[in-house]
Amino acid sequence: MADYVLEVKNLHTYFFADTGTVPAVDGVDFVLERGHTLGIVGESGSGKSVTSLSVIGLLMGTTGRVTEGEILLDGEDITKYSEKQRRKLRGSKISMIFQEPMTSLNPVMKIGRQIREKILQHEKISRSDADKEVIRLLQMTGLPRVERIVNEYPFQLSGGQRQRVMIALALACKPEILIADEPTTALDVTIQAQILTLMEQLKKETGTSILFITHDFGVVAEVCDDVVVMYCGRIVEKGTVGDIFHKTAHPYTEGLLNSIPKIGVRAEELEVIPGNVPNPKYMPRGCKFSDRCKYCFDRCLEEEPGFADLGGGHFSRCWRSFPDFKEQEAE
Amino acid sequence: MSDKVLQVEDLKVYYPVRQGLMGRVQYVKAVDGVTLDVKKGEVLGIVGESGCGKSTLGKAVCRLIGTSGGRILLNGRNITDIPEKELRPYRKQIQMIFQDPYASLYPRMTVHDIIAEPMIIHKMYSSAQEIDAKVVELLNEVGMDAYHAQRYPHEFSGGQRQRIGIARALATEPDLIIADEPVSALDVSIQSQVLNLLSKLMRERNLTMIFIAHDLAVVEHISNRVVVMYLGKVVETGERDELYRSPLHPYSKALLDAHPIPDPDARKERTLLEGTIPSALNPPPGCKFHTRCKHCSPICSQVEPQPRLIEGSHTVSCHLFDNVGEPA
Repeated sequence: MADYVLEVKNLHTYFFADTGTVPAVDGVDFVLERGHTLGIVGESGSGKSVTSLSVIGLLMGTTGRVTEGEILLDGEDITKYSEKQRRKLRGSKISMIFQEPMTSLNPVMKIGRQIREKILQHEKISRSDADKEVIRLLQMTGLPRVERIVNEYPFQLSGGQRQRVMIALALACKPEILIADEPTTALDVTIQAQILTLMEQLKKETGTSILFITHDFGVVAEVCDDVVVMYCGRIVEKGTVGDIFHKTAHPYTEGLLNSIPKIGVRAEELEVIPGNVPNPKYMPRGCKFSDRCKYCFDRCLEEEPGFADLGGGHFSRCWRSFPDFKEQEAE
Repeated sequence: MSDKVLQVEDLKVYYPVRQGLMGRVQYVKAVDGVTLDVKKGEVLGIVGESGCGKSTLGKAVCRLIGTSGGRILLNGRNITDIPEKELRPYRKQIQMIFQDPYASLYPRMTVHDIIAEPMIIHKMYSSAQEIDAKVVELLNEVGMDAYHAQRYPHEFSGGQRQRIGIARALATEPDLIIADEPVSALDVSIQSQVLNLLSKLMRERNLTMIFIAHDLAVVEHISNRVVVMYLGKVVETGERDELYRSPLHPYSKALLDAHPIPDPDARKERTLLEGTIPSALNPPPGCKFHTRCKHCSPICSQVEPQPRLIEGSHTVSCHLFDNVGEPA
């Protein structure tokens, strides 16, 4: 049996605003295999970030909460935990790296102290041992002149260096799961390549499993083992990275893959997905993607499809993916 | 008369910075001696990482910021030193499309007013009816409807706003459009819509454009010719196919190599570029790239390489090519 470090079952995270309820995550199921990297891909508003915030439990202070479903960490449902218990998990078992390292580090606290603070919070070790651990972690991320960086402030570092500090901070206390929410989006390509390589190498060394949130299929192809594609709070397709790229089943995944320009591929026009992501208050009645889908037929407008099992863990939420679908039906 | 819409010769843009209260003034050489030209009907792509000076170059060409040296020629006329007051007719000829469609449209003007304003300023039409008709025509051209004209920017999505920004840029019928990262703030599916719109406009209106972006694939898709910049300098230029198929400068190679390919079978061991882009306040002597270059030899840290023409219009500034081609 496969070893799952994280199982998310039927997760619903709703935001209760004065103007109405927004179902940001609306029934999401996925598993993260130990030592694997799972990519969650989608455009803005797809619910990918809210999914990750639900997993780590950082919805406090927003109007959002998990209304239904389970999040199993090593088989135990953490949605039932109290805030105090969740707080213990955060940082020690689940850590997170954010898109903008400058806004996630404390600007008036020295780098070394920020990391030490986290270690002392979760582990019973002496201050001097914690300081040694800080140096070790920073060295692991390939930062130069580490002994001086511990006494510097975040503004003294470049974007790539700050992201390395974030990674060191996240990997302190050896978390089982690292959530990386667009960790390289704010970085230049050459620095992105450095950070992706570093994450890959650290994953091998520490055995940490990674939940990688991104909108960039190039990055997904580079680092992920498994992929979940989200649209309007739902998963529309999931499978191994090979399934998603080479046996693409859902029209949304297909549209996204075809709409990105690729180096060395000449095309007069790019394929487009027409229209915009629908407003959550005016969702299409049947399949959520029906109003932008080029294959849409009558059934799609009336009834939302469930998952079609394509074998080997590859699922697609599309009527056309079911084995009993006949082309005539769509005519 | 040449067919060059824009010629930039040895352009320099320095920003003064004072370190501390009494510190001496130092200069950030954001653009440091850039020479390039844009022919009529072509799209010139400018790529480079943050801090390479590509946006500063775009703004300087529009005369949105002052220059510290060199010349800018628009349709053969030197516009570098024309006083602000007399610039207006030239402003009509160059228009800009900005990166962030949320920040670049005035929130208290209707779409109609945003698009009509340049036409009014430049006294292009004599009656309000003509302007109204033109606004509708422009909206249709960028894929929007006449009724959108009475709405405000906040009522639109990012992609639609960028379309409005494009319509406004087209309103003065400019000879040159400078697009600074026009699609990088947009979602993937919307990005391709806007790129297709730009391609369509290029074809139909025979537009000339400078397309500034950090995404190599996007630049390759839309450009005819490409300029690669690093720390305020042009390191390589060439026809698109030539440059992407056989990049010469070690930096261009590294950039292409670092670009993630959307195909899991194409995963590869990368030749990683070490370190980060040096501070523009204190750039390395000699070749600006030598601190990160794996082909670096002693001469690189002493002598700045001059551009050399290798083949066709493919030009590179690197000591590896000192004995190849001819000085450009």
